[in-house]
Amino acid sequence: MKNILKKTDFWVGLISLLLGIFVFSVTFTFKQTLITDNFLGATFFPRIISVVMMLLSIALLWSTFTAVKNSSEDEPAGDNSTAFTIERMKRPFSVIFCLAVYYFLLRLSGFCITSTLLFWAMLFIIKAEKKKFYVIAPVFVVIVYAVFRYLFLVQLPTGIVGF
Amino acid sequence: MFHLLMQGFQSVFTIQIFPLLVLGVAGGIIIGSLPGLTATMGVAILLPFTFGMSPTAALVMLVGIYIGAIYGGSIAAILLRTPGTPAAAATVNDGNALVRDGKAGVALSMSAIASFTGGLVSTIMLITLSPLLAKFALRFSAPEYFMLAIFGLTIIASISSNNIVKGFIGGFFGLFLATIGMDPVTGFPRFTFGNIQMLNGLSIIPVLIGLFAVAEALIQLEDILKKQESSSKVTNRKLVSFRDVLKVSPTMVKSAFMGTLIGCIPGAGADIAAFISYNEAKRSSKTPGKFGSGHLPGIAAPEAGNNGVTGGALVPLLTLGVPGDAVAAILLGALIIQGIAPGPMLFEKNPEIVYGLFSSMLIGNILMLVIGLTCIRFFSRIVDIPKKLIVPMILILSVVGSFAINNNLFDVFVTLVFGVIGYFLVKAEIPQSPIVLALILGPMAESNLRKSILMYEGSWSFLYTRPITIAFIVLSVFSLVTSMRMKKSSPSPADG
Repeated sequence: MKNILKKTDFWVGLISLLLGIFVFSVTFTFKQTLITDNFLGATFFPRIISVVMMLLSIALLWSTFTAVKNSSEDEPAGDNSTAFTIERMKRPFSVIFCLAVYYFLLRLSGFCITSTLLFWAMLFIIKAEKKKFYVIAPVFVVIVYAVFRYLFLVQLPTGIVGF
Repeated sequence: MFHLLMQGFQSVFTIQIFPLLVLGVAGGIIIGSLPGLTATMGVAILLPFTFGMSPTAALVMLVGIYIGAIYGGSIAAILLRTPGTPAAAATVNDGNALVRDGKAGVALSMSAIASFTGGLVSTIMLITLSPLLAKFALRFSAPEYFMLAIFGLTIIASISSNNIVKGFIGGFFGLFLATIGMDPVTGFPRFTFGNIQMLNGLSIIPVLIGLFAVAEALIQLEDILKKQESSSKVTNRKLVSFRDVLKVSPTMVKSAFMGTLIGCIPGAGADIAAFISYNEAKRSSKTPGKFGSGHLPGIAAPEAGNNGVTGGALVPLLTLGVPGDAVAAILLGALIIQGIAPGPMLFEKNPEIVYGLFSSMLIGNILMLVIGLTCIRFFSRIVDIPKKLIVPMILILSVVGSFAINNNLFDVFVTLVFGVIGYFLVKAEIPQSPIVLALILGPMAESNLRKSILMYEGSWSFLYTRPITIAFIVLSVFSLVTSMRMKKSSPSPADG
């Protein structure tokens, strides 16, 4: 049964079960007004959703357990469990980290500078060797900024630098 | 209807709108032909460019991208043996076999002509079917709208994933997301946790951009270091002969009708239409053994089928306000941003927009054919654009796009969070389409369910006392059972 922890579906079922429980329990904090103090208030629909979600999660967990039980111990984990290896996920995670930093820097250093830095960081992460890519990055960012600023009249974040 | 269509043509053939259609179709072909960039992603990242436009101009451009991208997917499938979009996966074998025989021009032109046929037939069906369906939909009341939403969700959840339970989990996650914000009846804030930015609920477009564009870019990063296959040079630009086109025309027309009907079903996308059309062409062929070895019907059927979806997917969107596929969901978002509510009243209130859209689809398909037949030489250059450059560009455009909706950094935050969520969803093989459809249909389902129960004084009898709701229940159960049976016999294509 150790194989169950390697099954993606097990984790999907568990996480959605926890989400269902969370949604259901949060609905008890909703205050009902006198007018809507019946079962059709603000809690009505979220509770239906959470209950169905919990039932679906249990169905998925049950089917995963049954599948693992029916397979022998030595059998490989199956499904797409290899999709969650560090090797595959390290680049996306590095970029997610860059995006988080980018989001916080955006207010400070403005769209042009921050986006160029993000572009360069991503090129570095994906090991882009061609120098022209690093030149294209600021050109692309400035074009996007100009199109939105002057054509669509959308002022992108300027930060303390003003652009 | 005819005079409205003529007015639509007049509005499209203006100096402000026609260039946008050309730009949309050409841009769509380029996006579609880049492996990994789907039509959904293309429409999502280019949507912000339409914010400042008139409703007609915005829709014309987005529809142009949609038509172009579905066709463009076949270019990479044919030249690189890598489908540009999931919808083009069925074209790979026969298309690439012709390229290896030195007949790249024949394969690409066959694909363009079949895509044009699919698009044209589906647009004509859209024009004729939509007003009738819209008139019928005027009879709908709250119980019918509630069941319609449930019907749409049932179909999309059951066909978009290999595991139906996971499809439904995605759908109910989307319904949960739809409840975030103020309760539509009592105004009570739900799941906002004191954040005033969330009082109005999650904006659809940032969620869409996150789930489809950012998540897809993150997925692309996993294999980005793999050496990109260089394109097969188009050495022979000779087009498919007229006689060959005539020979495959029955297959093309049949596939186009099938694609349109599949597109009309909420949730069934171009990838499913392409595979079903391909299988049907093979099944009914006198020479099924030739399929996969450069047989022209093997290109014509999936391409006519997947472009047939372009018109079909807009039928439920325009008439019922329910998107037919993920791209139609983004078009729905575009309409909402423009202050237009799709549904049966759209034909009464804004006929100029509806018929402008119809006209642009007819012209867009012609433009796609012209570009497809004349730019064959350039296609091998397009598919060579390095992914290492495209992925960062997509991420930056996603950020800009989500910011530009409300000039609000919180929307950027939502996009990035849903990008990460979408990335894990793809890896866990949970389809994104049910989430998006549920997010859109959630408020409709909730308010109409509550109205129905109030109408029936606390009873749920509206589910089995009204003919249309009974019909929707029967259809939902039928689709569920059918897809369960189909999944037992063969796995369905992945969500696109």
